[in-house]
Amino acid sequence: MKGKERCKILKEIRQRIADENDIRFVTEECRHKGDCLGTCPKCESELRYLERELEKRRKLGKSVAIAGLTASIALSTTGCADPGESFLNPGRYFNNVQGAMTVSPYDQKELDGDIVEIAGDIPMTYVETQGELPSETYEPDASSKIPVITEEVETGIDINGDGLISYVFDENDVSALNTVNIVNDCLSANVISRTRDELNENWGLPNKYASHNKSIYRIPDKKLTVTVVFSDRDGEGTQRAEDLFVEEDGASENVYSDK
Amino acid sequence: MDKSTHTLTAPVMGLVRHRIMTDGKGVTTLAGFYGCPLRCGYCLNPQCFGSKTAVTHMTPKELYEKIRIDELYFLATGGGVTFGGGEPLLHSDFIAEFCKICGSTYNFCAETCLNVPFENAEKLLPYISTFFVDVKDTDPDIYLRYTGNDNTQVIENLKRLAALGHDDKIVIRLPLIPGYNSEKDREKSEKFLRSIGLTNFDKFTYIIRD
Repeated sequence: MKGKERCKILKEIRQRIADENDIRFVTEECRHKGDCLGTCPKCESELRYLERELEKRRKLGKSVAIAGLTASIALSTTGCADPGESFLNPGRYFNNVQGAMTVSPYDQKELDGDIVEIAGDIPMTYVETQGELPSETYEPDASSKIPVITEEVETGIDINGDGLISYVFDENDVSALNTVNIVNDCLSANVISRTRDELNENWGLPNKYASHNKSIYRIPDKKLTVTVVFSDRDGEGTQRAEDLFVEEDGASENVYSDK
Repeated sequence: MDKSTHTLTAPVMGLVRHRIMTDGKGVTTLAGFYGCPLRCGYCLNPQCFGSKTAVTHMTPKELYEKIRIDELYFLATGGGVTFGGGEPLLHSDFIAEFCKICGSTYNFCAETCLNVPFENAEKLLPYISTFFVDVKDTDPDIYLRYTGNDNTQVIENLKRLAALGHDDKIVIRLPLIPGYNSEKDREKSEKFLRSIGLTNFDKFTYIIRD
């Protein structure tokens, strides 16, 4: 599930909670362009606001309605469900790791479709890819405090003829795959620049991962459209995706590039 | 567990918030734990075996204080907490205590290999609504080759849970693992598991990229 979809659902939930409890709740349309993690300081502040308002209602002896409000909100994913979790970035835990998903074998969603034995001894799931890898660049705004560069480089994802999706790290840039999402048939990857030493040491990966090019994707038995979005800092060090906000005039603005 | 102070703690690997309709209904938070009895060839969280970075040990109360920031979402959607890792059932005492603190309004699920003493699973039956059990493959040779461990305990646990009438709480994950099993192997696994009374299956394929 893409961050924007997650954000939309969470926002609907917040709105529903406010409506059911007569809480004045006016939200602004999210100005962020491009993908995100599904929440941000603004979204979090809305949630805290609702909590405070609900507590006020309780203290005034008014009824509070929360349970089961979301029956009419489409919570189910129509495409592939959120894949399972990888905690490959230990530094991100407890720090608003919202919506950071990595494909793993652990996906609840029951899969439709047949597994097609296409060749060899081990039947592989047929993966049809559509579309082309977008090439995106973002020229950092001179006023941005945190420049964000998106680029398609040699570190792109290649779709092999046999349906396998491979990923190659740029040897010079030592960019590392950070998160991979499969949402509604779209595969997107966020890349955060790290040094190779940090990749080996801080992530605690075994040797087979140290060469950078091993990872596991859980591909549902259906067609995929692959898009790639990379974000990379300007080489000054590592930057977590959730840190990519710029405070300007008291407002938070995400400076992700346009898709 | 912190034996020096007799305080119940667990090594928590990470939390992932705002999962939607994944491994549990509604909006959930995944709490991952260090430690696992298996050494799967394609483990997605190999750092769960022991990290070079500092491991955070938390008490159930401390974990609750972190998790509860999304309580409104849990209550509104029937969601809650999914335990994973690593192998969460290695920390059953902790999880049971945590669930008591959270109360009955959260929904709890567990992603597990079930290769743990039966008592670890039994302890959580009053709290966990769904166990997502990744059996890899029921063939002992395939299982040993892929995980480095024996699956006798897994099969025994599944039989006991099914016999106790808890098959409705169990979703069996049946992966196709390139290089380890085949579709025929998976069919055999499903057939065997159905024969012992299990009915809920989630089939998927590992895709390995080079």
